[in-house]
Amino acid sequence: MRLATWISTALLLLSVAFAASLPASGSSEPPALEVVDRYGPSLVAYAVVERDDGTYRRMLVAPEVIRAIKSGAPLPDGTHILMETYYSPGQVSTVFHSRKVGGQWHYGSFGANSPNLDVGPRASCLSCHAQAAERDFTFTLPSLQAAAAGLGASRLSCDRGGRRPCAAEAYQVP
Amino acid sequence: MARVQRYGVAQRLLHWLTVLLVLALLLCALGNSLVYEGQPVLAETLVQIHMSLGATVFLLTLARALLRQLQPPPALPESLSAARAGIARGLHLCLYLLLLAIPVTGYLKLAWLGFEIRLFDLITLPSLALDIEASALARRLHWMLAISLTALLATHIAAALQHRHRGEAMIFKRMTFG
Repeated sequence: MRLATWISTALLLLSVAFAASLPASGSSEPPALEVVDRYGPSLVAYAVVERDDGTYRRMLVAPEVIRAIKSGAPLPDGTHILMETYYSPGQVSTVFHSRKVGGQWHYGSFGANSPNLDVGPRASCLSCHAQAAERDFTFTLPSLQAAAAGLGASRLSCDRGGRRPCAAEAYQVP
Repeated sequence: MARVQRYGVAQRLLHWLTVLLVLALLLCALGNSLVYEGQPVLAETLVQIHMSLGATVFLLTLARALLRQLQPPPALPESLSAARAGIARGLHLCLYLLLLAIPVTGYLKLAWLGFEIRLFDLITLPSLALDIEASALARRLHWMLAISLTALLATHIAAALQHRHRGEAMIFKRMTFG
């Protein structure tokens, strides 16, 4: 009897432990936003845009920005967005970044090994971002809004190569 | 042999200077799109040069239009049919209009986004109140007019060479120095 009691108790505990390890029914938690510290201030990766040619770009932003737009507010002044370009997996090439200053977007870029967060008015950047003017000049605004809504990081794909921005629908979060 | 009647020296100088500047403008625009991804700093420099040269072409074209009023171009030979002479005049007028309209649309597409354009790092052009739709229209026009200019320039060069090889060299020589 004593042995049977021990076995029953052990099985019961194992069952409880197994049940506790399972996700709660109806709450499929989205993956947490990956934290990136390599550029100084702590940032989170909120989107990856893959291209047909195998290159991809990872978008980073300060977590405070994600919190600030939770209520549907526009991107606040001081918003700093970084875009890492990857021409081969895991290898960061140029990092492009933008910061909202007095309602205007300023831009900058640097090599992955020499972070330089200075920004300024850049006609070449703005000319391209003008195509996303309706989204506060930010192509991946839908991904930021999705992250703010607790949907985690977005994975987008674009069928255009090189510098050309994707069609607007490519940036819609599925 | 009939003496060649040429454009005035200032007109010829301004014409060939415009040729060089327009060529540089096109190369800067093309270069920007080619190097942006790998060398964004160089790309921005090319855009800055593009904007400064564009404003220069605008002013030179105004000067050329004024000079043309003060010093009408030499007459075309009588052997040229009225239709071809009309086409030539129309083509020249279109080139002048494009050389004025393209810099203006280039300015407007950025100014309507609140961007202050700096020319030669010396002069700042004023920005305008934010108007996204107007800026988008100016951007499309700038592109379409630039394509039209490239096509008209090709026609202009082809016509000049055709004059030269059809025994109408005096038309071609009106704009040369030799």
